[in-house]
Amino acid sequence: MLLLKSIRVHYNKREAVKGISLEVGEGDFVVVIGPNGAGKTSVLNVISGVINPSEGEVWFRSERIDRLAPEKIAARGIIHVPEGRRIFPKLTVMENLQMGAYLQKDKTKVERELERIFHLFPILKERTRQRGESLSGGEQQMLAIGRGLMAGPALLLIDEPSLGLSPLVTQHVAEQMTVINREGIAILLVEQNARMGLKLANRGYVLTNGDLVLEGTTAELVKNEEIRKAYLGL
Amino acid sequence: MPPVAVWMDGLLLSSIYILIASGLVLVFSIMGIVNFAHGQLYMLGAFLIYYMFARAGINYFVSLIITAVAIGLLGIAIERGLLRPLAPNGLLPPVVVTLGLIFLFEGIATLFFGPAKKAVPSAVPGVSSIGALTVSNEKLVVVAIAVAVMIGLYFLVSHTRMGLAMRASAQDPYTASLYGVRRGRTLSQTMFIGCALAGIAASLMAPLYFVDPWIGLTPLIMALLAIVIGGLGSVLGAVVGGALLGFSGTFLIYYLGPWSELTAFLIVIAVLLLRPEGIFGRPRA
Repeated sequence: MLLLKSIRVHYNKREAVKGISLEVGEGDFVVVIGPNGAGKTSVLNVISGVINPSEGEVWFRSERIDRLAPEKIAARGIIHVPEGRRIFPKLTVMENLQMGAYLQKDKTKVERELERIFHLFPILKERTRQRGESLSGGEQQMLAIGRGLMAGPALLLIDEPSLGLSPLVTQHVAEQMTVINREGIAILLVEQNARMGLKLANRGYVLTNGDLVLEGTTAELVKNEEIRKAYLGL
Repeated sequence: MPPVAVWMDGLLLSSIYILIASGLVLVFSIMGIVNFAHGQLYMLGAFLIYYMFARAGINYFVSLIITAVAIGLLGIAIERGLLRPLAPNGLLPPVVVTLGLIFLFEGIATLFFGPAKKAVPSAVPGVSSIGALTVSNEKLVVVAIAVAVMIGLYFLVSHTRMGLAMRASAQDPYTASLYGVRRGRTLSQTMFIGCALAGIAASLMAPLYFVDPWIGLTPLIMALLAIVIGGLGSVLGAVVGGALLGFSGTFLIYYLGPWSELTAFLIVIAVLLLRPEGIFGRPRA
């Protein structure tokens, strides 16, 4: 479904991503773990078209997308839920959700999606008229994912959803991601919280210093000695 | 209490300040740029009305729409041609460019239209009686159109997909782009609407005052004052600030004559002393 071939990203002279290749299959749940500053967010920004790679190719459903504008990529069904949630602070919860459906022309689809999101995150339904900035961190994360779902994605890119959330809320958000994935939406998750990421996903990559150092099924990765030491604290 | 006619004039002046201030504040709140040439766009709009309606005899309302569209398109040209290329260079370039445009547009107007004051005839002649009050139809039409335009603007910004994209993009252009909002298009739409408002204000005012190349300055200053009083970045604030200045201006002319010009500034000073963030502004943390 999604294929990255030898992607390199430079910020001025500094190389942030050093030629990585990565794959997400239809309906797959893939996690990229790695420390802060490893280049995880840069990879997602390349996929969603916010930054252009200096080298390499991105393919989505047998179409090359790495030079397309962000709105063209979003229209193809790749939706990026950004790091730090980035809820529109002065828009209401409902308007934030409507922004997710900005490219969605089919009104009945939007209605159906909204129903599904309120079913998934009932708290959002109670808050539709509140401003985004008035929500708690956990609610904002649910809204960010809900906003992403409103676009009717085939692939969700989710960046650090656990950031700043309590373990309990993180747990809740994790469960919802599993539900979303089971409904057929592929997820590429980027997480510092390796324990959570490896538990949720089927396959995983380890990114350090802009390089993929390990990849495999999450069942293999959790058994790996290096990962157990460096990321799981075992 | 001042006589009813003075209230009517206050309403009239308020309508114009509000139209000009809301265009300015819309551009500022979405784009983060104060368009100092906004008053000169108003001036060019007034000349357009003069040439189309007073000279060529085109229907007033048709002239008004053409003027609004033409000034809106000029706004897009300014945004695409000057402001956007300079956007990566910080806050100062747009200030310098829009200040420079003041002289450019005043120069062009003087060169091509001449420095003499020009009169635009009444677009809607006659008077109407409302109870004991007699008002010129012209003034009624001005107020009615201003109110309709402001309601339209409110609807556009708060209840349409385009308005939603404009507000989202103003708050977080990066995230808005992830959901398909094209920043460039949003900026053009904003500039078009903001400048078209100046064109509408000019069309409404031209038959009531005279037209010359220097009529843009006072409306710009009044609009800026209205914005500061109302709270930076809030269209509602611009409405209240514009009304405050419009009514107080006419009342004080009635009571004080020429001294009234000073009072606009006294009001601003008073508001800023009591509420530095403006009436509808939010205190800065």
